[in-house]
Amino acid sequence: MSIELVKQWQDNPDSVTADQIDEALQSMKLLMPTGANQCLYGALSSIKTGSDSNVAVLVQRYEKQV
Amino acid sequence: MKLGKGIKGVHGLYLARTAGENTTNQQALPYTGNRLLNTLFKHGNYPTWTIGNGVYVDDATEIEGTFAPIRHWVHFSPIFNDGYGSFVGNFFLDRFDPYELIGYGPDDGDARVIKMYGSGYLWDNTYYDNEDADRAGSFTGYSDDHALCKVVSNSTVPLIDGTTTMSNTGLWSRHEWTQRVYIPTTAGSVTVGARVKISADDKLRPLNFVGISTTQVDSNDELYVNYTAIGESNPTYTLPTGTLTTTGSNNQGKYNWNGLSSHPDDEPSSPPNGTHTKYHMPETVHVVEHAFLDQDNFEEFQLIEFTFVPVRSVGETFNHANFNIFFAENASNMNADLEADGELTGGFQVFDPYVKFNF
Repeated sequence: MSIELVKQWQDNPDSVTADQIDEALQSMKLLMPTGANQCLYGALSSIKTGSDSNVAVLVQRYEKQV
Repeated sequence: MKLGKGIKGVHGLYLARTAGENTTNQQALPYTGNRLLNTLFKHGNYPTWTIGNGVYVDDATEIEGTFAPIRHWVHFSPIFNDGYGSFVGNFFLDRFDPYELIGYGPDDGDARVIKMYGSGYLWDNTYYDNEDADRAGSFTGYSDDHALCKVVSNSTVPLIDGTTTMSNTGLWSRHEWTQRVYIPTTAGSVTVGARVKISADDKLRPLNFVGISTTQVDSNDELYVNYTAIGESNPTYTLPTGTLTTTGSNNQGKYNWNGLSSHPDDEPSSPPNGTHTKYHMPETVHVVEHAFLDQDNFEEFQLIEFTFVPVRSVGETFNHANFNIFFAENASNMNADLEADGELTGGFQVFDPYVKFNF
């Protein structure tokens, strides 16, 4: 699950590889782009590009909508 | 075959769109001709989270996710959330009742409803401060530089300066989808419209407003704006209209309706497919509000439309205008407390926008 990967990254960024993030982003496209999933997509994208200060808010928003 | 109540299109107006169509001056992309293209939001492209401002594509490449365009439409948002990318918030819905969410995936050729929503938060990014209410405050003119894009796109505050904060209820950041159209010089007026909806279960937060607008620029780089907006019932504010200028004690001319350039001479800085439109941060803006409507009257799709007389002082054979579908989000609605409450921003649904020329 992508959310678990994001949370793993929050706990320990070094434990998640760039390939895992890319794979998770690809898998998101198989899901419906609900509000929750768009937040999760944003979190994964933010990790990928290094704008990672947004991740906590996006995870919080995901969990409220899921 | 799909069943259910479809949204009636406005195809009868297409005849007017083709009158006087320009076929000789199409090098300056992203002009799309004197009609809107991809008004039904077909082709499967599905932007999510972030996208480059003003980037234009017209090819058939189908892209979903970050930096995914909508074919023939260019996006603007001053809320940078990914370094060079700025916030994009939209869903696509089926055009048939009950207007179900459409997934990522191959283009099936069906028309879609676009539903724009707000950011709800002043996202962080690597380079550009979204919390700086007077970001690019001293700049006016045209630029490709994101650092010269103001974060405040609409304002009722007389003077924005270094003491103004992004908690001020008189400030808005506006994101929008835009197409540029040629206007035949023989057209006496232009009518624009769309079918729009704000569903009962996803009303706009107080102070947010949405709508359609047109922008033009004259030879003095003064901006001309026409719009119809939809917002809360009995709003507590009045958007500034008339001629807004910039003086020592009032800079509303700089902080209202800035965004993507509507100047006809913008030179593309990239090959045509991928061309991007510059920012225009004006100093003087002429604003006409055609209506400010109550969102409670839009729980089902309704037509909104206005007619304006185009500015004549720019352009040789043809005049130009940008047509915009916008979501203006109040600065006070983009904060962590509302985020913690899980309050949604509201959603603005749009189907089949159009432009027609009146001769």
